[in-house]
Amino acid sequence: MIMATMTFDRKELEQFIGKSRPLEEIVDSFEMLGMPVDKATEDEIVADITTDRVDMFTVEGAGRAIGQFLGISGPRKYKAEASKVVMNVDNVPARPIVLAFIAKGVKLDEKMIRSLIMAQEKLHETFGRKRKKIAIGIHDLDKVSPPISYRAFKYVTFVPLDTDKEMSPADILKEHPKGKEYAHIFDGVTEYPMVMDTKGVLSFPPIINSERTRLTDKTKNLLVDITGTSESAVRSTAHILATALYDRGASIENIKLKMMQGGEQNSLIFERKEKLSLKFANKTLGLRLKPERAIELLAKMGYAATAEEGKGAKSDTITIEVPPYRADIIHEVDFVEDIAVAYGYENFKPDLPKLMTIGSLKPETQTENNIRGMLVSSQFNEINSWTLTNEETDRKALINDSGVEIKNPRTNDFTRFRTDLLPSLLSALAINKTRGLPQRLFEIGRVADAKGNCSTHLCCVITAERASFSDIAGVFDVVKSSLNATAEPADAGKEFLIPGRSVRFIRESGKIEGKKREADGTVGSIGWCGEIHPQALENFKIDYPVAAFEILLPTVVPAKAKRASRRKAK
Amino acid sequence: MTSTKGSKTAGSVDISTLHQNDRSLLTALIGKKGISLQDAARAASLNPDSVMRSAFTLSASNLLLINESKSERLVLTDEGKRFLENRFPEQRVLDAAEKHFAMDRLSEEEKKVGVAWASRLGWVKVSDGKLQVKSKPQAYGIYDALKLIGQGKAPDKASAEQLVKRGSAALKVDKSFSFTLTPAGESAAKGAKELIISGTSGAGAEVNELTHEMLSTGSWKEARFRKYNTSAPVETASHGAAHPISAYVSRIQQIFLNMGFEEATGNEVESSFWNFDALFTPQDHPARELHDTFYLKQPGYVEYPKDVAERVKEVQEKNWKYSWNPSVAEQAVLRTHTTCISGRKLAELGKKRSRPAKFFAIGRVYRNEATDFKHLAEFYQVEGIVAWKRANFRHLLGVLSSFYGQLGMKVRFRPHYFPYTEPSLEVDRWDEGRNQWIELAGAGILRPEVSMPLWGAYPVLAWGMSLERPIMAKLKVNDMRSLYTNDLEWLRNTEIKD
Repeated sequence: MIMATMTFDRKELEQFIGKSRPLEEIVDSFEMLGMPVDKATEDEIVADITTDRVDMFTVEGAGRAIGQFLGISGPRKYKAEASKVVMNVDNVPARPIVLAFIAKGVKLDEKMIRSLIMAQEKLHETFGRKRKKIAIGIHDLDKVSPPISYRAFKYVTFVPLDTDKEMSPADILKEHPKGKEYAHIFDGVTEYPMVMDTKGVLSFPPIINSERTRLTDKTKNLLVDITGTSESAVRSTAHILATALYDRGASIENIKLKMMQGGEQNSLIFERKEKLSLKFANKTLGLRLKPERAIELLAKMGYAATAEEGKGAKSDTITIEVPPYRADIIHEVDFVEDIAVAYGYENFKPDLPKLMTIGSLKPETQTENNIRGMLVSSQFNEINSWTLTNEETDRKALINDSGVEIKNPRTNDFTRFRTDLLPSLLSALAINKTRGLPQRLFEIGRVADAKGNCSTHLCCVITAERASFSDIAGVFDVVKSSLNATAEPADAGKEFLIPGRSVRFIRESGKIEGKKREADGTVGSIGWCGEIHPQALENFKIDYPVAAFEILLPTVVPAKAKRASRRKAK
Repeated sequence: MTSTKGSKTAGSVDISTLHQNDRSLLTALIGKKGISLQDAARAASLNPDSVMRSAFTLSASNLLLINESKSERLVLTDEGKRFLENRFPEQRVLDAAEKHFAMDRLSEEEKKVGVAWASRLGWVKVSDGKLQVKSKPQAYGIYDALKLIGQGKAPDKASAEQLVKRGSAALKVDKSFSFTLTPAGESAAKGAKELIISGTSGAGAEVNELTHEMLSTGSWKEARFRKYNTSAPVETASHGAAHPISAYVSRIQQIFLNMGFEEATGNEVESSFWNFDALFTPQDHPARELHDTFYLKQPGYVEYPKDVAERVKEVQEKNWKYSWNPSVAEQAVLRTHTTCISGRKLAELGKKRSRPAKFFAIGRVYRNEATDFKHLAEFYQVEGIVAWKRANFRHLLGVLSSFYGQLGMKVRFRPHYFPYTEPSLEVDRWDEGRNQWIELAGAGILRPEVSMPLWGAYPVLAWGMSLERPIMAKLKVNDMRSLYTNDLEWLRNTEIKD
């Protein structure tokens, strides 16, 4: 999933843009930032936010990005005071990471609660991998009795949100709707993570908060806990929420973590500086931006940037303050893209690379194209079928080869990769029964063996009042020179062919034009030609005779299949 | 009726001069009444067109009665088909109003026809040159009726009349024929049967066909050729055709060749390594989950090169901060994109000191999705790569403009996000019929985390798209599955035109 659909309240969004703007301008800004707008009305905007910009999942973050993009506001500095509240962190193997902060002076109106819940849900869903990687708990600080702690419990009881009875973790996972939904996260776990204060449980992450610290319309001060399995994701989430609340006018307090195994750390680390080589940016984009221009473009994307004074290599380095809410910056190229977005994709002048190369098709593709041409001019119609099939279809075609089997099929139609094209062709004849006779069909398509080696086959069928071996053998003669194959007068021995009326194909390996064939120069059977057995026809409800051939075309380098590995994947 | 010696006649017709097909039809109809065209064709071992030709001849000689019956059905006009695909202009106007589009973003048709209807229906109003939604209907009956006709079903009478009046549908008359011999025909038929059995033909008769014998002996000079009824319907000659997908693939291959790209191919069964790990996808990424990807029971595991894996592991662990698991990378999958082919090819070029190259791949890819009109569990992807140390973003836009220009498409570029490219962009195509931009392809410069471990350098330009969508647009097909139905009628009559 690379996008999440978010609904923003127009008024609220404009509050964080910093100015009320015409709807068209807001929509354009979203789209120029790479977020397609599904719907826009006077009251709300529905946009697809890509998951590299999870900061824009919040209305505060989306408004901030647009305000900066339009030049209404500039890069922002965020501050967090040290809180008096500390958090004692135990070793919690099931969910090792925790961070927490305080936001004071919040006005919780209905709109804000709605926005907060939407952002929280989408963060859980995408960035948080359905709460597995990160989860957020928000409490009414004034109902909390510090100090707080993060610990693992086998058994503890508390009253979870929306209930009125004391429950243990096991009860919650079994009975509470949220518990049932996310119970799989704790498969095989016996000690559950708990955020606590002196009076008991505040939250059982990532499942549910306690009823005791529930938010109400009178809540002024928030305690936010974020737990998870990835430190960087948990930290980014904390930053996204803290900066959003800061933009709303709250004052943010940083909670210090006292680790059980020793040491202390801050929950929020707002300061981050990175370097960008302007030369690299210009080379990558094909532009010649001066430092001032680059800094201007970076500001539109929310970065405070400075260039070193001086000339040459010195002024090439731009120092960038990365806003704490940006979770996606892992390389210089991430700044380069933001410069391109601010510059406007439509302002780039397309250019062709001056790289001289010679175009070519693979020899096997040329063979396919040749064969297709010859068959079409022999009045054959090409079909194109699914490569995925099922046991039933193979069985109807009297094919028992074992092939690639899918571990997690979604439907009974697609459970395996086909080993032969014939069933696809017979299926096509079956659906075309009303289309008159004769019918001449072929397919050039992919098949796979049990080891997962894929190759291309050709299969031709003729059905008519009379369709015999000689009719189809004549067609083979038309294409055989391109196939580099010969028919050997030996019965193909296939269950789906009438015995005594078929031949098998062989291909000489390393054959050179005009040279004599080596005694051992064959590579075994690569196909067959014959009349289809009436049992197979009856299985497909085909009531006219069918003559057919199928043959292996030259293959590409196959994947090396391994015998079932002893190492088991997680 | 009289019968003269030496020649068999029926009324004024000399049976022996009849075409062999006419005689076959006569004998096939003996003692049958009201036999249908299809049954007659089967009984006479003729094709239906030959039966019609013979039936006209025999009827002109009063040997046969042709009974023609007509039935009427509704079909879509060209306009109707267009509306079925794009919806009625008034529906599009309503959409535009909901999106607050200015009037000048409407097409001529939407302005002229759509606004008038949408206003009359009370859906929108126009004030100060701006569209406003007045009331949004739950459903639009005549569009439903249009869909029914599109499916070959009959809508209610009022809707049908309205659609015919609007010119979106028309009445089509289907004719069917049945045949009965006249008494003269019955007796002529018996004569004809004898004639067929005795195998003789009357002397001095008209000649049906010019033969090799007549030409070599010169007897054609005395011959009189029987006149044909040249207005009788004829059977269309059967012709072969490449599948529309193949035809479109050929076009794309040609464009790549024009631009100097070499073809790359690969195996549909892949290791997770090439499908995910090598493309910087972390091992906990949702795209790898069972409900998006087909994993395999047999073979369960596929090998991957350990030297490339060392570099991939390093990049993954450094950036995603977890312990990379080689057995997860071994899991066999059906490739979910052709980028595995590109990854392998880049690694190959990487061994040759980051050799520059332009290459492309076209192949089937797989997603663990339920199949419906716009989702397929398997479809084609096209992918283009330019690996060149001096390449830049403007080159990417240039290559894309040239490629899609040669496909006859007007395109635009806008920012987007893909996990393994940065910068990334989406290519939109202008759709004349729908009067809007439609998503077409994804593109970007491969992230250094992808290109460095494989090709050993940066940048690599890349783009990819599904093949089915542009083909559907070209063929005006709404249901993606119809490309794979293999209906012979459709295959014979569908052609990719420029």
